[in-house]
Amino acid sequence: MDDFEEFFAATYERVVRSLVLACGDQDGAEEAAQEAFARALRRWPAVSGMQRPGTWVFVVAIRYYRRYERRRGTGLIDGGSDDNGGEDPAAGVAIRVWVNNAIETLPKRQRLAVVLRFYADLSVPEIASAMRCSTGTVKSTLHAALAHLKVDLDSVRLEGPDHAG
Amino acid sequence: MQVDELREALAEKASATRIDAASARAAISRRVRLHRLRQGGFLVVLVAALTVVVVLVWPGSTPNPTIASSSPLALQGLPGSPSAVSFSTREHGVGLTTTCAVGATTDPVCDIGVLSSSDAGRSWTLIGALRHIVYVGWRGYPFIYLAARGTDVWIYGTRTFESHDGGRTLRPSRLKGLVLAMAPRTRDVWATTRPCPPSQGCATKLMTRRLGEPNWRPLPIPASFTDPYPRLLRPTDRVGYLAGEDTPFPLYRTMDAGQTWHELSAPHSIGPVSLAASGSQHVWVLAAGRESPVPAPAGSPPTTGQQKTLFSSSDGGRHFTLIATSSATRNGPPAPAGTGAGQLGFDGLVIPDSLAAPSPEHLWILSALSSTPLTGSTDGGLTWHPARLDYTGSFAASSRTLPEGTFDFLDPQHGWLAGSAQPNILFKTTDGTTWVVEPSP
Repeated sequence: MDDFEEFFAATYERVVRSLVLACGDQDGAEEAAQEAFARALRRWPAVSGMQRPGTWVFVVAIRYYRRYERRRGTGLIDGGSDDNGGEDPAAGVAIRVWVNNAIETLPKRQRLAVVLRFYADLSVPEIASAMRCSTGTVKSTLHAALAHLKVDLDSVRLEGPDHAG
Repeated sequence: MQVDELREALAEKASATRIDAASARAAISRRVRLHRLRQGGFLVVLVAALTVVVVLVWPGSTPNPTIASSSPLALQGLPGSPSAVSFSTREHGVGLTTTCAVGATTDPVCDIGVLSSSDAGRSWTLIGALRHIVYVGWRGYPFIYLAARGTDVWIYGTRTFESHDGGRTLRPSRLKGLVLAMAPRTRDVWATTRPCPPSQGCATKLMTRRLGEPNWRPLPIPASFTDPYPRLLRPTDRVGYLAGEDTPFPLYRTMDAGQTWHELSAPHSIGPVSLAASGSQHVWVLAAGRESPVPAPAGSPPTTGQQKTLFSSSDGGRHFTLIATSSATRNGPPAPAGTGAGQLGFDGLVIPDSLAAPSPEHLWILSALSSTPLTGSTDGGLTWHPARLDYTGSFAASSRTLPEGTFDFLDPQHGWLAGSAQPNILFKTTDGTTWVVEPSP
């Protein structure tokens, strides 16, 4: 992708929405995304030559957000417990509504992994790079999250071929 | 639950986030500039910082306009009724609302809004707005038009903006230059662009873009087409007409989605021309003479001496037939004997784009300065009957003529006519015969 404007138009909203989904903080999400895209713009000849420049921006934005949260003293992504703390969905509640609620009850780290894998379509190694952990940790985190969300694990391919651009 | 359901739930939840992409883009530019400043010396920092301050404070110098998308939006001076509409269903439509400050020697500055209706036009809500848009170097009122297809919305003209979420967030389009014609269809959109105003000579380009994709690419355009006021009609995905206003009237047709164009032998015209098409074969040309005001008796509406002639073709424009004509004056002579032509029995001025053909039988003509501003035909243009327009409210108190208006039809029975008057006024038909003003009193 040669044109930064085209890249920005195609990618920016997805990055912000992913971070808002994962972290619930739109100001922080936009701050992180804008910083990541500013860095991409400064290094555009190099970034545009990457196989998947969108993933590079995701990784930079997530790392920046982690520092942003540390500065604020919340450390939600790093410090979140893996205890799910959620409630079972009440019988009869529409699945979409339940999923919406259940996603919000996920620990931050699980939520981030789920959003990056199933909304942003990052691969497990890319998520591991963004979260600064091993691919095994990403897989176990995803499995725990999907179990909490009662997702049929047979329908899941963690190592999917999706691309984030 | 399947993983696809999880993906859908995430996408739905993510879509609730409102994002001001244009402001973000400007912020990114500022971040890059500030980064460069930090790397420079103190003096460079000082000079550049002043530049940044100017960029931030000076209203017309921001690289991108302010895109308002936070909710709820307030009209803040924008008319609450649209000057143009586009309906995707009988209930759901978007509308354009604008207000501009135009000076003789200054750049026009406009606020532009996208209105949304979910009750067939009875009520409108502002869902997106462009504030303080400066048309740098332009003199007079800028061209501002609306085109929409599904969730894709374009505000085009002197500058062009686009939205892909139904008008909520708008950003500058990559389509540069003056865009005077835009024609979206089910899979793609076409637009004409010029790098200079109509008063100057320059080449027109025809551009296309598939819906959902970011890139515009050129389509071939007839080399002989030089008209500064291009118009596009796309009655089907593959059939299109490209017309102008020159004399002789330039008219071209494509039947292969714009890959090749053929010049048509258009009827003779001496003035503004309206073009309408229905399906792949039926096309009409409303040719009109120059305005020539005729003194009207006291107490009667103003009239003009504009001669109007309607031609039609049922073979895609290869052959045109005279269908109806008007007298040169309201009480002037009828059409020449023996022509078999009908009578366009109305006075007033027709302007480009004042003709609509929602079916091969149903036609409408809007005329300004007329006692019968809207006239319809249900037999392909042979006979014409004035429509009753239900003028009410402040519009009735201020004016009873529509200087300009645009049609939008879903089918012959369901259509809207938005008049960009002071104030704007919207009419609707649900039976293809009678028109009522919206909102209903």
